[in-house]
Amino acid sequence: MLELFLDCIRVWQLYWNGGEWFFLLMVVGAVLLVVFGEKKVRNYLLSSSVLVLFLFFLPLTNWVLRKFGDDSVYWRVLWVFPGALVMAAGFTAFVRKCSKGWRQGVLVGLLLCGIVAAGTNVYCNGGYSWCHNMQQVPDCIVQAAEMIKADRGEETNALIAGCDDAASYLRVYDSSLHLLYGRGGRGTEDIKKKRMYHHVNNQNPIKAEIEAAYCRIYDVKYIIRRLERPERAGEYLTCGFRLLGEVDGLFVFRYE
Amino acid sequence: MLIKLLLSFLWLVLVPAGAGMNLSKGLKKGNTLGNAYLLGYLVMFAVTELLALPVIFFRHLTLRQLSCLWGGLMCALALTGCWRNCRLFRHLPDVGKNIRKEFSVYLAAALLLIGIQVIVSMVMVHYDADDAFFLGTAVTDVYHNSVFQIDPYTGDAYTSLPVRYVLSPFPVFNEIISTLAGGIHPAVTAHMVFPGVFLLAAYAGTYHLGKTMYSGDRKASGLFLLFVSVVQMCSCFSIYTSGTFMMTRIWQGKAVLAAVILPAICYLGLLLRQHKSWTAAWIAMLCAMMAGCFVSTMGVMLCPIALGVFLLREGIWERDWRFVGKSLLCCIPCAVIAGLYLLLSYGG
Repeated sequence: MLELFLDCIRVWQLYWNGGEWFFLLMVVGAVLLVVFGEKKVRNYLLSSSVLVLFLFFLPLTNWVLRKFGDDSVYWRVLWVFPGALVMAAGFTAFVRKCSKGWRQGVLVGLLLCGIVAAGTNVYCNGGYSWCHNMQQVPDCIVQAAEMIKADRGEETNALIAGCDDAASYLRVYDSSLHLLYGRGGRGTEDIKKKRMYHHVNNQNPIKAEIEAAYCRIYDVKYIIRRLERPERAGEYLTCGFRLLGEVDGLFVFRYE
Repeated sequence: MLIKLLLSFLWLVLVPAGAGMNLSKGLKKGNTLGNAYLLGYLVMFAVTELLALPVIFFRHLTLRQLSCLWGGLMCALALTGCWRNCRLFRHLPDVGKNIRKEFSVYLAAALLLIGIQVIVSMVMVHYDADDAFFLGTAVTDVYHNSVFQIDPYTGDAYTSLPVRYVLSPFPVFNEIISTLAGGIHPAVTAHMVFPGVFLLAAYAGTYHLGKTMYSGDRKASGLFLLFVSVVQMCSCFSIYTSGTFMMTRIWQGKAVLAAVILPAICYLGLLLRQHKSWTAAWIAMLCAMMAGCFVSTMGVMLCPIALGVFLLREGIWERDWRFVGKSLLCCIPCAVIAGLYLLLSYGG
């Protein structure tokens, strides 16, 4: 029981990690809602919040969700916690009661600045980037996929073994490509295939001859992998691979 | 491409709005286009769950056949909704006047901010490796014209269905839309089309929650929407928050659960507390629960929790057993899906 409760606390800390100021602002919003909020809004949002928190820290909830759901996603219970609504409702109540005219505009501006300062803005923290293809998958994956498609010709069933960067997106870009395993080695129960996955994702040591042996066993035609030191591509060339090309550190080899 | 985008607009904006009018008509003052749009999505997700599950398990229809069936049903629902609300269309010339009536500086600021969020999420890109399965499934199924028969990780046929995901087949929605929108690539649908329409649905729910909370005070609901939109934008301090999911990967089912379905349950909960006899609101709640099951496996558990928190407790507190009974009835879809999950997981 105690273990489950401690796990709830661990999950809570994980969820709010880095958002302590934001949480503090949420508490301020809740206090403002208590002081200035309409009874109907206050009762609805605050009692719901308290109940969600009670359920979240209840070891029984933790046990049930872990038993019948996914072990690693207990934090999603906090999605039910209406924290954003409490904060917004508290600030709205405060603004409505305490100011009018231009002063109200200034107060709203200050509160918005407070939220921006306390939180982490998705646009300023690497949340988004640019890409140059309609499917919005990494550009290097598009180029690697096109290299393989141009090389394979009629051999549409040619198998590919890729590192995680490639395995995650190759089939999202083009479903005609066949992979030996998927992201994180998923999509197969075969232990040897999983071993090959680890070899292709490993930077140190790189064992081109073992990868070549797996390519022979499973009739894998292409390997896509990252090489931290580009000069190591030479090791692949001596083991029966041909380099089709390199894009942003991603090397595409064909096993002959 | 323009035709494909117009078809996407038809299936993702006009059809849900039309279908949602069936329910929004019963919400009296809440019979607005925004409400119809949000409720339409709940209906669409519920319908997709009902149609997709038999197809996945019995494999009697191809994806194109399923898409035609779904399209026909949704068109029928949309036309019924429009027909039932034909009086509303007579007032179309007054739309400008109504918008001006609803308008406030805060609402304008909120709409501007939401517009920026929508454009950025459509034009720019956030890479997420979970796409390998969720988006991979959609792309694979469209390529093979099948539903959940091919493993998206490898391209080989499934030896056994992925129990964890198969009862919440959200990728099927993407597949159907991509098929009906003239063969648009599912990755384009997910990354460029879904963020726009889902963010609008999420904020439509928030706006109507504000309107319900502040009894139609347009200034207060505009201000509330402005605060919520900024809070969501700035709550990306960890990768776990609902704001992060909403802002960065709203095309995935779990993000739709966090950003659209759970807030919609919160909104409908408040509505039902105020108007306990509104049948349309109860049906909308039932659809929301089914939609929750459809978008994410976690929805099977989180939606009943949300319903308990926002609605059921009111009935228990007031000892209104009729109200409690109706609330529990709304949980039936989740109970059925949970039962199926246990059967498939532990029943062999």
